[in-house]
Parts: sequence; structure tokens; C-alpha cells
Amino acid sequence: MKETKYALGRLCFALALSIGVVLSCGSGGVVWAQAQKEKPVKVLTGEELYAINCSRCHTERYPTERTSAQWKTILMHMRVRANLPADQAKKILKYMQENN
Amino acid sequence: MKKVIKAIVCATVTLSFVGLCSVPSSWAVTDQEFQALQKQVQQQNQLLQQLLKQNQQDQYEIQRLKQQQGQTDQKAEQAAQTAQAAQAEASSKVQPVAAALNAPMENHNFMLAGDAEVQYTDQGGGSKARGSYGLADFAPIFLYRANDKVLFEAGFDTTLSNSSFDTSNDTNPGAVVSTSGGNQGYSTTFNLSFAQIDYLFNDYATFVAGDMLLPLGTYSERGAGWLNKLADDPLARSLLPGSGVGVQVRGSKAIGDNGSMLTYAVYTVNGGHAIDNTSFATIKDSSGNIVQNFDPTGNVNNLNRQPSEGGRIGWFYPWKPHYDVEVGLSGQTGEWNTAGNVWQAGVIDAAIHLSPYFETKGEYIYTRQQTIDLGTISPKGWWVQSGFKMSYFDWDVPFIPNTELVFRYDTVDNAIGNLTNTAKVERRFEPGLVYYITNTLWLKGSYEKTFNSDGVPSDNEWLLELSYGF
Repeated sequence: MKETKYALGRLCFALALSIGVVLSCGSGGVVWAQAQKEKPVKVLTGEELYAINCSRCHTERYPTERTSAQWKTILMHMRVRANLPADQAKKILKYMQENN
Repeated sequence: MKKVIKAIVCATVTLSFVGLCSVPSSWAVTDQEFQALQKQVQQQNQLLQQLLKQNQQDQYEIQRLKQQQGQTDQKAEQAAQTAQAAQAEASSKVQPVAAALNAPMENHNFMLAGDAEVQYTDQGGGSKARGSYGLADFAPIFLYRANDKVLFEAGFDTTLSNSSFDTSNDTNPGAVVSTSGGNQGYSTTFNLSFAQIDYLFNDYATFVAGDMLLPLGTYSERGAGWLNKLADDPLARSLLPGSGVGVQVRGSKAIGDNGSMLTYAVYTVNGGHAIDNTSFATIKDSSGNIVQNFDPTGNVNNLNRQPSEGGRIGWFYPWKPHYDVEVGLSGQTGEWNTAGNVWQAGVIDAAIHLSPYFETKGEYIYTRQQTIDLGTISPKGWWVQSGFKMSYFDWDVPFIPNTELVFRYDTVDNAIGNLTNTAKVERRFEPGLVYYITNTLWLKGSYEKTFNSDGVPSDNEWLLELSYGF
């Protein structure tokens, strides 16, 4: 029984790992990309993505609080910490750098 | 050169002709004058012959130089072809390696972030410490961006705490008491909260290694410290490790065009372990008190047989800025002692924002632990916290617009409380508020009322904290 439960835990871990690999390889992106083709794409701006993501966990940090180089480091940190998609992190960084 | 010579010849001939024509007006030429003139013409002819000869030599020299240049060009071309062939041959023999991660020095960056807190507590009832400055905390985060793909980050937590103040619910793991106040009733701790290397492998995956904050729920990564709108941690977070030493792969994929995303993280770390390396649920400490034998902070070291594994998968969906929902499922499993007994944890987390003014978030935490004396025990708990910003009303009165009302309910069932002469179940109500002096300087205040099971008296406490994020 103990071994079965332990194996179940390892199975869950392997499943999560597989999801990560699939996402990394981009095969899942093909499915999503096909779904996106069916409707017009509205591109969110860096300011909108900043409003969507950053205030989820902390109060607003103004672009003028940091230099462009510092924002680059901060966004790299937040991309990892908050699991932000790369494209969204880049747009938010551009917005912060252009307004600091 | 030819033009010069032609000019000289023409000039000479012209001069000669003019000379011949330059007869005296009398049209009388003596023999002596004729001979002189003849001699002069002869000299000029000789000069002309010398110039023509020199011209031929120059032409020959030019031809020779052109031929030499052609030979040199041919040799250079042959050398280039030889070098190219050698390079191709060398490339075919050498194993391909990733490009060196170099970047201009001006792109490197080192910076400091983090937070600092000062806390005042006033405990009611029969508490040993009624009112005191219970905690002073400085928690810097060092960030070093080596290049566009590599980031080093380390968080430290230096805390001066009043020992009389109950810190049993502090989920900051791995704290080591470096100095002690002895009978002064305080202690100073220096805690490495996390120290990790992040490598951005591609847009969808980041490798993380080191002492990492763990994605068991979202509280450790995104809710603790300065980000917490209340001054203390939820009770049930004491069931989980906050960090662990190991490796992790994490990332996300945007879904659709509204900013929603699917996130994931998988990791392996040194698991929690038994304090005394046995499989008993409880042990006696040096003072003879019965305490829990499982150390969740043992993700740092490894006293069990092998590392543990865990991960989280989450879904975030915003329908417009400041309106979103996020749900996540996470867990960790692994042995906690040398007998092969297993400790497992599962966490469901959720958060919702309805406008810039209102948010609710919470976690449900369930753990299972195999023991030889109590069988399988299941410590568990949950918490939910809401916040409402008074700026919603747009009242033109002092202080109120900068205030946020906060409320949290949390509970924990440690499964062995009745054995350790403490409450098995605790339920806590905590209303509070945050006053935003600036966007990074907060004044937090709350009142806690804790109800305990097993006949343990209820607690109540006032908390006041000045918190600064930088």
C-alpha cells in the first residue's frame, strides 16, 4: 500500500514534468496557435499587461523608480518568480523602460 | 609619362623649328652660326633618344610590376582557400558547443531589492509579553543579471525577535539562531531565505537551481513578507516547507490574446526529515516536552534516503486589467526518514481580483505522513484572505482613501496537538487594515482572535507593523 501511494506521487510528478516538456517543446503552442487563427487577435500593450500582472501581488511600482537597466533585472526576476510568459515580460519591460 | 615625353618632344621640335626659322632679318647665315645650330639640333636629338629609351624602360618596369602583382594575388587567393578548407575540417572534428554567454559590460547589472519591517505586538490574556516591539526584520534580495539569460538571486532575512513573542507560526524556514539574548528574552537570526541561479532556457522553460522558494501554493513565492497585507503568516503554512535545495524547471505559456496563461513548475529537492531519524510522529525534546518529529524545513539538508519531488500547475485568466482569477494545484512527495516512510503534501490555491479595489485569495493545504506509532496522520488547514481598498468610495477625507481593509480566516489541524499538550486545532479570525503611506511604505494593523481545541485557552493579540519594500 505504501509503495503504491509513493508510486502514485511519482506518477503525478512525471505527469507534471511531461506537461512542462510539452510546453517547452512548443507542441502545445501549435494547438493554441490554431485556435487563435479563428478569431481576430487583439494585441495587449505593455501598459495593459503591466496592469494585469503586476498588481496581482503587490502595489504599483512606478516606472520612474528604477533605471532601464534595473528594470531589465527586475523583469527577469519577476518573469521567474511570477512565471510570466516571455513575450508578456518583454512588453512590460519595454513599457517600464520607455516611461522611466 | 608618355604625355610628358610627347610634350617635351613637341616643344623641342617646335623650338628647333622656331630656331631654324629665327633667321636674322638680313637672311644672312654664316657657316659658324650654321654649325652651331646644327650642333644644337644634334644635342636635342640625343636628348630625345635618351627620353625614348627611358620611356621604354619604364614601360618594361610597369609590365614587370603588374605581373608580380598578379602572382601575389594568386598566392593570396590560394592561401584563403587553404585556410577556409582547414577551418571547415576543424569544425567537422570539434563537437558543437553553445555560444559563450557574453554580453557587453554595460549590460551587466547588480541591484538590491527586498523589504524591512518593525513590528509591535500586544498579547492579551495570560501572555508573558503584553506589549513589546516583537520583531525587527531586514530582508534584502540581491539580484545579479549576468546576461540576458542568467540571473543570480539570493534573499536574506535578518531578524531581531522578542523570544517571549510566539513565533511558532513563522513559516520562514531554516532560520539559524546565530546569537542569543540569553535571559534578555530576544534572539537574532540570520536566515538564507533563498539563493538560486535562474537560466532562461527558452520562452517556455527556465532552469532554477539552488535553495529555491517552493511553488507549494503561491504564498512563499508571492505572498510572504512585505507582500503580505497582514503582519503574520497563515497558520497552515507551518505545515509546509517554504524553500528547498534542489533543481527546478518552470515556465508558462500564454493562452489566447487576453493575457491568460498556463503556468507550470516541477522540482526535486531534499525532502523534509525526521528530527531524530526515527519514524515516530513525536519525540521528546531536551526539556522533556513532546514535539513533532517531522521538520518541514528539512528540505535544506537530506537525512532521509532520497530527495523529494514536487510541482505546481496553474491557470490564470484575466478578462480585463484588475479583473482576473487564478487557480493552482501543487504538491510534493518523498521519504522523510531512513525507514522509507513517506511525507506528502497537496495544495489548492486560488485568487480573484474584482476591480483594483477588491481581492480574495486563499489556500487549502493537506499533508499525509506515515509513522510507525500513529499510522498515517494528516495535518491540514486552510486560509482565506480578502482586501478592500477604501479609495473605491472616492471620499474627499484625510487618510481614508489610502486605507485598505483586510480580513483573514485561517485554521490548522496539526493532527498531534493532543499529544504535545497543545491545541490540535486552531481557528483564527484576523481583521486588519493597511495604511499606504506611499506605494512602498505601509503601516499594517490587525487584531487576532484564536480559538483552540482540547481545552487550550483562546488567544488574542494586537499587531502593528511598519513595512517598507524597496
